[in-house]
Amino acid sequence: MINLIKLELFKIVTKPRSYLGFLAITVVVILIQFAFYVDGKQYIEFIFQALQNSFQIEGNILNGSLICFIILQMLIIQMPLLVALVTGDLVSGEAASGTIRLLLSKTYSRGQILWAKFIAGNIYTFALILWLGILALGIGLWVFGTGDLVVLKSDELVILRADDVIWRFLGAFFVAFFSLSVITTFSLMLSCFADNSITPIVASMSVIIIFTIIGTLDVQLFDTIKPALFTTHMIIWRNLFDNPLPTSQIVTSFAILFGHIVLFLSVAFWHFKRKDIQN
Amino acid sequence: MANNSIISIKNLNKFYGSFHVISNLNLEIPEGEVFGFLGPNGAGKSTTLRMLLTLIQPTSGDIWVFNKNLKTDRREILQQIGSIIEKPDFYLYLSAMNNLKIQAGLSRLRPSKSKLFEMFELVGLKGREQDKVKAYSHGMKQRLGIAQTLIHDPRLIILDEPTTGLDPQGIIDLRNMILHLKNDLKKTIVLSSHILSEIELIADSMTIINNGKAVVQGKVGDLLSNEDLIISIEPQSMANCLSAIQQSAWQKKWRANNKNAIELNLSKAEIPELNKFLLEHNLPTYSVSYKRTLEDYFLKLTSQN
Repeated sequence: MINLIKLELFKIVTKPRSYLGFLAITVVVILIQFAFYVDGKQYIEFIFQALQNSFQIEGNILNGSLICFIILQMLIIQMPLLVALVTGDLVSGEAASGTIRLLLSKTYSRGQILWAKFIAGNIYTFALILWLGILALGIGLWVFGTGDLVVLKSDELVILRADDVIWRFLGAFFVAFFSLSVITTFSLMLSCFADNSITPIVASMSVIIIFTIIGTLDVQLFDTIKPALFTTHMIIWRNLFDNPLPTSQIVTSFAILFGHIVLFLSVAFWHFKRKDIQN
Repeated sequence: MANNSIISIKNLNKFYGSFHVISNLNLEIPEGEVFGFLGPNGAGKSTTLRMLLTLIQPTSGDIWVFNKNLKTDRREILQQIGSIIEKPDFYLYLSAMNNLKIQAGLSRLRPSKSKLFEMFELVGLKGREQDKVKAYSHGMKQRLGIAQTLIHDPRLIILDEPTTGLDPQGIIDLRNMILHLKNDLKKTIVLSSHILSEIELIADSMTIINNGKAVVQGKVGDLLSNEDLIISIEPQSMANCLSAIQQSAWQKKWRANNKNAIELNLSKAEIPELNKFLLEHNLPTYSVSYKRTLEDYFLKLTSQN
């Protein structure tokens, strides 16, 4: 099994497409950081303009933690698209190129092959999040320094002390990884049904966009289905920056995301084990 | 299962809805031979071979390979099978060497570098090991496919339409390779092909399949010897020879004639009589040759079904 996972990782690592996500993250993060480095103070003054009458703000607000928080908010919506680009191709790409015949006519069982792809896909997703963390938090702290994190929410202002922030970011990155793992599993499931690379990637992206739109629309009709949509729970990383921590809300979202992973994986296994390779 | 059978298929069926792709197929494939699997397009050849490789699941029936049941001993069986289905498949963005390593890895092997280079040498790709497969020609891909098939030293090799897209030299090379595998490496080869002469040239036994049913099975030599041969006479004088034949009982056997030769449909036993006739009628000839073709036999059988 380890051998099979290594083979899957080797295929991901040697495929040029796998680096698009890393490239996109690098470009966007550096661009945002550069923009804040050049013009950040004015931006912060504009944002906190309304608060200056009520609060006296001292110290370095424009610090690495705030930059990282802003980047996470901006990028976390786009990350699923970058993940689906690779994981949506894991099975269907092999079907399109015919190499699925190589895989399935060998000694490994179909179950082992799908597990290996699932694990390799998640390792890729983890690497993507890790890279985002290194760039957004690591370089952010290095360039902009440390300081308290001021999180401006729609109805409140949360101020977190500098020594209380790092673990929240680590938690947020882990939650983001877990959320993206749902996308990994979802696109892998779609990949099992398709014989070309494009369909599962586009279908994954379409579903994410549709669910996100439903989630943001304030229409009563959608209120009942919103809690069941995985996209609703993919933003729970923000809750890590609440004070006090809404533990039950986080646990519930985790459970719902885990349920989605189990559901998508079960459907993928059920279909893949029965699939006739006719092409 | 017959004693020397490497593959035994019993009452194999495959349905897609109400469509019967394979219908009660029974097959015995002897060990150590090249076995030809013939049939028109859509006859069910590829489906059968894919079921042998567990790419397609049978609706019912049993497949025994190496005296083991494919349902229960899949891993042990596939460990000893190498295959090319339709075309050799590769990760085009990887080098030939990496493709071969992946193939070995899928067979749970970690071959030494010398073993890998040996495989490249065997298939005539020495010096091209590090090239990306996307830069390979069709013929080179076919040879790399053979290397992939052989990397785990299988007992049984399944080749589905392996000559598709190859140029004449490529076909000859592949044919020689198959004969080398059988004669020198003692492999059993199951070969499906729509090129009937290909089967005729290299197969020891064969099955003709049509509409998912085996129409005939046996030794290629036995099946062909029962059939009419096409005799080609190349006379010194075309006019004299044609005239003599038209005025004799051989007229009934006439098949066609072209600029240099007259063709007759005869059995092998009638050839000496024909020679005698040509001598008695003083009809000098450059050659009397015969060809045995499966084509007519094949078409006759498949059209009957």
